[in-house]
Amino acid sequence: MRWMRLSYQQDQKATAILYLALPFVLFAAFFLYPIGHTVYLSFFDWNGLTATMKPMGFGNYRSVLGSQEFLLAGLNNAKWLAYFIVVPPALGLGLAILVDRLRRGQGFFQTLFFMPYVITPIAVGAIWKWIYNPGSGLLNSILRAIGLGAAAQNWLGEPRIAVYSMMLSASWVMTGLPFVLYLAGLKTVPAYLLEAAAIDGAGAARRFLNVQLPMLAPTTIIVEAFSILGAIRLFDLVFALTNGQPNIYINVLAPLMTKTSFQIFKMGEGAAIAVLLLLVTASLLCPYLIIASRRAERVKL
Amino acid sequence: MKRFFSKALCGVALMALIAAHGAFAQAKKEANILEIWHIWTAGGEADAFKALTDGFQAAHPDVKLQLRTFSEGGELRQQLGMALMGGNPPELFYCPGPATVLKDFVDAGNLAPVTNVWKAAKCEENFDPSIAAMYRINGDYWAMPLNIHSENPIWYNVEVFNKLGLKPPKSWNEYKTICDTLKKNGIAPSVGTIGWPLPMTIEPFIVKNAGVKGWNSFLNGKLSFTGPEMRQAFKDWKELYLDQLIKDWTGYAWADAAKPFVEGKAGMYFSHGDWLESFFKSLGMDESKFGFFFVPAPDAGATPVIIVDSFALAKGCANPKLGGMFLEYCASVDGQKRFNKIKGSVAPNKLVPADIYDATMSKMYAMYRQKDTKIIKDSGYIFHNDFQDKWKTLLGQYALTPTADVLEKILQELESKRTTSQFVVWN
Repeated sequence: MRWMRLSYQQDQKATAILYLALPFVLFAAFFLYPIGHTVYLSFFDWNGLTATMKPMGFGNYRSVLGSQEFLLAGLNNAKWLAYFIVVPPALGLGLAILVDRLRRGQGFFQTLFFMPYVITPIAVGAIWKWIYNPGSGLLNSILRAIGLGAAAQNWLGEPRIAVYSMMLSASWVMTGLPFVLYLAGLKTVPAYLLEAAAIDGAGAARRFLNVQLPMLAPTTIIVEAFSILGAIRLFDLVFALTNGQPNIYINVLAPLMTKTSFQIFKMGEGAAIAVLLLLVTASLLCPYLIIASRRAERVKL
Repeated sequence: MKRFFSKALCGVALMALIAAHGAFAQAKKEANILEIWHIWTAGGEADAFKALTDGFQAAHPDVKLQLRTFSEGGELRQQLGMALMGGNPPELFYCPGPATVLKDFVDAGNLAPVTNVWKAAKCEENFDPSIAAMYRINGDYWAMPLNIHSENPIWYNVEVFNKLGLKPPKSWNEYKTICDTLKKNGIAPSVGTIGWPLPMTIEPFIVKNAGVKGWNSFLNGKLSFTGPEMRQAFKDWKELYLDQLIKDWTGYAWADAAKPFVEGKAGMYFSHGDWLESFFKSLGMDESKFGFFFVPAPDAGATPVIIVDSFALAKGCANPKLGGMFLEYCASVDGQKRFNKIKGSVAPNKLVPADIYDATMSKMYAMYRQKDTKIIKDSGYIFHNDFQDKWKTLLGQYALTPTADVLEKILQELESKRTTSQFVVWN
């Protein structure tokens, strides 16, 4: 490239820019532009089919925030959030501690516990719909077979318990990721710290609480961040378990947004729901990451 | 040199990405691909569509069919909307009729008219005028009907009825007596399901209280939800439907709900489409073991709510000519024979011989031709999606929590929605 006569530093800069150009273009095209366009769309009344859009100002937001369906869906997302930040991480950590102690078969259990995480949600929905079928499903059949027929429920059809039934199936899927992250995290805890604690008389519980758990802080930050995201963006599992038609009592915001945009053809209102979802996610995730990262730094020091 | 090639590679990759999109449509055209989107995923419905496509393929072996299925129409419309926005729609997609959504697509300029196909296939001569009217918008035809379904027969288990000495009722009082008898004998009067079929189950009670004339007012948005007819319809719906359902009915999808009916654990399958016939058979139920009836309306005999399965041609698709060829085959006697014989529906083409119908569909065919039968349109497709979704959502809410408070709340909400919504008046 002698004809360009760039200095070494200029050449380094040009190389970096050129390598980043394609990823940035893709990032702008598939991330920044859709977000910007969605925000723009949220101020219009548009059915997604016609060429013209009618300006609405904040009309879509008023309509969405005043809708009972939206408020119930938001409440359900809050329930899922409370659940996701506690149960799958706790289960994942528990399994990781158990598997970490195994001398043999760690690989087998890693595969076993992580496998549900990679199964497509539609398949997960099909499996759990069969398990939860009130007439001939696996769960009710087992309960009846062992004399607990009175405990057999309409797991997905009874509004009071449907959300919790779905949470149980979500546990099966969502525990895999925290498990592998925590397992990897446990292996990074320096052995000498554990030995020193043992010499000082700390039992297993103390060693876990005072040595391993604090050292797992960076892993916990990542796990909880995924949990928050998973709860707010929840779509696939609810969609799959309800044949694509969650009722008003169990619906969450992402399927509601999809239905509003692509089935009712109210793209502007759907975009407003998407923007509200983005704001909620950002307002939860950003402060969390900042505060949690600072705490993790202090633990490291 | 190494740096030059690595920078050049980035540029080439970027250009390739941009070129790929345009090449895709051209490749599809050159490969003679006909892409069809439909909703017939399983059982007799899937077999019927396969019979249709096999017939077309035999007549046109050079055409490559690319079929895509969806679990239901809403999901198809969702994907279709995105494909239309992206400028890469399928040639043909399933579209029901009569349907306001068809009109929406026409108004938005997303469909290609198929008037020339209707002329070539002589559809105006061979189809019933009421069917033709469903697809004529602004003087052109916009989709091709394949079959006629009735969505509200009440199916009954013949063995269960015979065992208890029951006969299909001729009035709602007789129907109530049947329900009581079934319950006394430990059999659930009916199966049911939540979700998209739910509005079909309240329709008989709207007709019961408002008549056929009132039903048309309902479709045109003129029937008040807080008026006496609708209030009584909801009361009847609760007493004669919701209170008669099998335990845990909300946990069944429509296909799952057929199993307890087939097994004789429920006496009836209330107000669900005649596509169930092929489904019962696929579950091993002999045709002699199930039947159907309609309870007469106050101002008519049977009032079958019809929906018509059809295909529309998307504007901007790669191979519109192939789409037109398939539509012409759909209108043909051979195509309609192949499809309707297995699907369990009635062919709109009057030239299709009646001997293709089995015993059940022959009865359905005969019922359509009775003098006092009044064919009525399906609310699910007449209402705009916005109103239809509100209707379905609030019905679901009441079905899950059928209290007086919830009823009053939803009636007020529906009335408010009715007065602010637009309705298309179909002839």
